[in-house]
Amino acid sequence: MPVETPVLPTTELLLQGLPDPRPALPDQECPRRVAWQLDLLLLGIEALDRGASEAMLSTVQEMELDPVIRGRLHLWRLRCTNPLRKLNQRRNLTLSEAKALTLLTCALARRLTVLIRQLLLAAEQLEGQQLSLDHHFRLSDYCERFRTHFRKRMNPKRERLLSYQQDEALNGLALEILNQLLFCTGTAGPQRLWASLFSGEHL
Amino acid sequence: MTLQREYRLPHCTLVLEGLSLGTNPSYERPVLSMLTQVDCYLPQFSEPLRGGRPFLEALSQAVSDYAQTWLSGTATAPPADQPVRLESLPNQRHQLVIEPAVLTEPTLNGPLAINLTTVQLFDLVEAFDQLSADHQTLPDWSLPLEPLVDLPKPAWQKQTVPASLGLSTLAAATVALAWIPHPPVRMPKDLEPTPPRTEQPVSESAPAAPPPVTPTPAPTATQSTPPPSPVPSPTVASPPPTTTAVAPTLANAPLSRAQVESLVSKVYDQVDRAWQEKVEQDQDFQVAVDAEGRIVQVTTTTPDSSVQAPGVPLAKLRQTGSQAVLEVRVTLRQGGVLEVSPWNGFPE
Repeated sequence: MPVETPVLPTTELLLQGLPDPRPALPDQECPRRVAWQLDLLLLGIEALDRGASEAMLSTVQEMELDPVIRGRLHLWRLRCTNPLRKLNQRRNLTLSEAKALTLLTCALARRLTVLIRQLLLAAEQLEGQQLSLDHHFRLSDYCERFRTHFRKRMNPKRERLLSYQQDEALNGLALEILNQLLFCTGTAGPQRLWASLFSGEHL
Repeated sequence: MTLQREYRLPHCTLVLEGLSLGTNPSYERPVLSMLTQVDCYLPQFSEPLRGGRPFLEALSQAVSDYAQTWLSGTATAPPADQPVRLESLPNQRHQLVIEPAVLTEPTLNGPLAINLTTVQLFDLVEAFDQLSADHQTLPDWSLPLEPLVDLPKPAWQKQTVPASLGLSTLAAATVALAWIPHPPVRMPKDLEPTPPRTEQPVSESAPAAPPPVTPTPAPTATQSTPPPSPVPSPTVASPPPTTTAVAPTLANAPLSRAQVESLVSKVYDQVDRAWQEKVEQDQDFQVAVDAEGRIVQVTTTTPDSSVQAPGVPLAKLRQTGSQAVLEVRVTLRQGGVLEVSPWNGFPE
């Protein structure tokens, strides 16, 4: 069972901004879906911004989340609790870890608000004109990077991922993630993302 | 003094008008505590959607709940009786339906349906979130965002159908098999107790024939309880399954161990004194003795038919006239070894 590390007061204040889910979770461990969702959103951010991995670590420092996310390797391990990854850590995220990742995701998304809105508006226009995504360079670049990262990291043999073998399906997922990242950029982004993590499909 | 608060976003503008109740220091931003009117400007309409507090609450709650279900992927159709509701459309579109009754000036006859893109929906949600975060506007109102855990059904619920199917099949199979008649139980003929021997012993069948299992009412004391099948005179013990020879029925009460031992030793002494001849091979005899230890009957049980005339040394010892009480096995071995033992074993 993962051990809860003691956190600094400011970090604790930050994490308390996100309420614990009801009914209380056994062993303070999150459902597997939470790790899957958070990993996908971070993957979307990496696909949007080439400098995202460095930005993740500096944002962790700025937000004083380092007692919970203790460096690059630990962040990678936390993301590997996603059960659909090839290298799965075989444990569940604790509530503190999930909260920290939520806050990190929303902070990173907020940095990219303009780009996210731009790409979504472009996607709407292309769809209105019945054109494919390739007609917008930045959007197709995002989708391609998303597909590459996804295929490199996720286990294609999992039943849940069988529908994502074609490029088109992955492009659809990339746009879904982009839409979700838009909601992360809002004033109540962390609260909305956090509240949405605990209901939905069961992995 | 009427206060106005505006929350402007690219695809949605929310304008609230109201009054400030209570006194505030002049250098602070006054708190808009009572709402008189809310205008919601959407790009699809030149005129705003106008209503009061009920409209604000209905619209904000519907939009917020819908955004949460959409984010978690559990969007379902809302109940039709709500004044404001949202439904999901294909291609990342969303339909906002507003009943005219909740608006201040309901000019339309039917509900108002507005199609929104996801970005427009986000702007609408964000406007309400900014309003909720503004503590100086309607401080008593907020949009709750609580994570509710949706736990999967416990495994036993998923197993109920197969388990009940299995049990019902088993029950049906049991009933079906119960209709098959079970085979009749037939007691072997020789298990029935033969009538008591009152005259000469009945001639026995050849020992070489495969002997049926005889319920020789062995006078063993193993049967302390009365035998199950009532038979007139001899108390018949339940058949010991070890006997293999046909023998005259012994009319007697079960003997004690001491009695059996004493009879066996008497037989041993008699045979030992009488046995002078050499035997070519082992010979087996079943000997019936009476209560005094006298040999009454001798039967050869050696399987080999080429044996000498039966009971050569034993024939001389035979004395008829009395009733046998015990069967003993007498074995004459090569080398002069004599073995005598009760046919049915010693009683307990």
